[in-house]
Amino acid sequence: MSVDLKRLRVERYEAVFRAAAGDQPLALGDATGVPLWSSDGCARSGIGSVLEGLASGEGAAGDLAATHALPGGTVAVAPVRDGEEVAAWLATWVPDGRGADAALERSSRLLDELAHLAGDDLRREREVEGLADELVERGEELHVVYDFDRNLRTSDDMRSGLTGVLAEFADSLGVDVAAMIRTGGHDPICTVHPDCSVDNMDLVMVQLQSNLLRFMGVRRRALVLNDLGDPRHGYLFCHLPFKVLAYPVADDEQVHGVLALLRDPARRDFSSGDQSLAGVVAHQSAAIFRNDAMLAKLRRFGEQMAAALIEAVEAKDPYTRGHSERVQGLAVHLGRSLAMSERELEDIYWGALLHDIGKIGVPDAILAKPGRLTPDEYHFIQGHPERSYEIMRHIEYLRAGAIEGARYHQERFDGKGYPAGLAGEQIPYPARVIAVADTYDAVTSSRAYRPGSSHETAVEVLLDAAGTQLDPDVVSAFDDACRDDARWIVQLRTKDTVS
Amino acid sequence: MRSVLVVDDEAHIRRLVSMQLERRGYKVDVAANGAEALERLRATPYDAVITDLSMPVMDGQELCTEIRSEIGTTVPVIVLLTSQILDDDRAWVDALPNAAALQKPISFRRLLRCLEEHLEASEGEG
Repeated sequence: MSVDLKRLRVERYEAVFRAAAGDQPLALGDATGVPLWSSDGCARSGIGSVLEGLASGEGAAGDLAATHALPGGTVAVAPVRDGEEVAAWLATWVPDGRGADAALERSSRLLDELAHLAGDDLRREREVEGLADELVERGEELHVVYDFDRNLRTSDDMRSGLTGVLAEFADSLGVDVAAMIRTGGHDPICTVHPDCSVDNMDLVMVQLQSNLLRFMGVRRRALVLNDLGDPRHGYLFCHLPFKVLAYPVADDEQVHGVLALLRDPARRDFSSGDQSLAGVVAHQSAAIFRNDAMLAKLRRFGEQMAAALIEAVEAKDPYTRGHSERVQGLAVHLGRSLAMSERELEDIYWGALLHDIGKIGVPDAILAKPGRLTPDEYHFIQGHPERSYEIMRHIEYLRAGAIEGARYHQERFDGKGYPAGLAGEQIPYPARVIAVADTYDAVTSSRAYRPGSSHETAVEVLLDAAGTQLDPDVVSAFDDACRDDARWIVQLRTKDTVS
Repeated sequence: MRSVLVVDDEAHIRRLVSMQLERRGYKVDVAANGAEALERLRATPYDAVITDLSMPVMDGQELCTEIRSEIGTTVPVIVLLTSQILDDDRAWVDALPNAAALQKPISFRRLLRCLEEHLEASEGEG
């Protein structure tokens, strides 16, 4: 990179020159000899032509200093070197006459000295500019980190956060497509610049998801394909009319995916600056994916622990096998039809799954008893929601909604249920939803003493119980959900094991 | 050539900003505080002003008020906010016509884009 010669402090050189050499002009020409500046406005004929001659290889190019006799005077020149390169020329004009030789010698020495100074100045300027550019680059990287952080902090989930990151990043970098392609079958996250018309985005994504993902998994460092004729472009893609910058999203342990940026061939090449900014996004994303994977693992652990507990309960009565999981599926679906929030659905999810956990304390003989229960036995059974509560309340992760959902799932809308005899809207909402799902599954499941009823019968039972046992609004939402599309319920009913 | 006045009490920021702007073809003058900037603005019209917020003598907010009342509303002003942007901090900038707030450390990508957008807006009006 050459430093702008305008940064040279020519006025200062001239002041020094004038103090020592008296009223002689000083001129500066660029490397090709074009006069850029002179103390007398380049008026002194000859300086310009000598400079041009020097630059084109005539005369004394390469000498430290040289003089050129012309009619009426002599031009002295000195090269300003930036390293090995001649970056500019300084020149002066000494008119013929008395004392001209001495003046010329003095001028040449001065010129030589000033040229050295100018060379040092150029180097220093270049260093400063280099430092400034470095600072500017780091500033950009810092802002990418800020954006990343802000997007993830202000969005509800990782996916929408990353979509925001990619959109802003693509916009600030001027790329047409920014895509986060993930390993492990996760859906890619992708943003397309509004000005960009991609004919077939699906095809683009398929290409990125196949060879590129595999290639980057092995390569593990950035890949820049600015030339569409690059053989690697041909190997990796069958038809992708874009310049490509791909950066692996990986940590020490694993490759999470690839950050792929696509730019129209008419736009500028991907630079090393683009590459380092992509690196920032890729590294941040890797950290996010790692955390996400750890969270998912923890969640799976929680679910498996719950499943193990439930299996312990359901093993006590073979007829209730899969009951908890089916009730969970029914209740969550029902909750969705009731337009519950994600938070409420999460409560339903856990409350429904664990609602019968208290049955762990009920003797097997009572649970699986084919005949009528004695009042004592019935009393035992009735204690199970409270025991579910006792078990669940120690689990910090579960919110009140989930725990209450399990505790009050045997309450009746008319207040004749147990354990507390709550009525109507006194019964926590999750419990009223779980109660409907629980009743449906109980009616459709076989028991030791009777076979399971059909879906139609079960819905009738629910409709009959609406307002007495069950919340009529929840029952009618269930009825609607079955009418809209009954497939979901068939899928749930055929699932009879806890996975 | 578009002219920009860069106002910051820190010499290295003035230099950094002018260096980057000059490289992209802007004519740049500098001032070390709001009062100095106003003097320059009274003497010469500029196409845009880029100013720091906290400066001695006259700070960026006061300078903005003076510019809007004295120089006019069409001159784009970009205010550089030191460290974190607090929403309260930038609210008054957003309320100014043809002005914007950017966070320090400076992202030149953003600064240049912001400057160009605001220059276009003011040229559209003017």
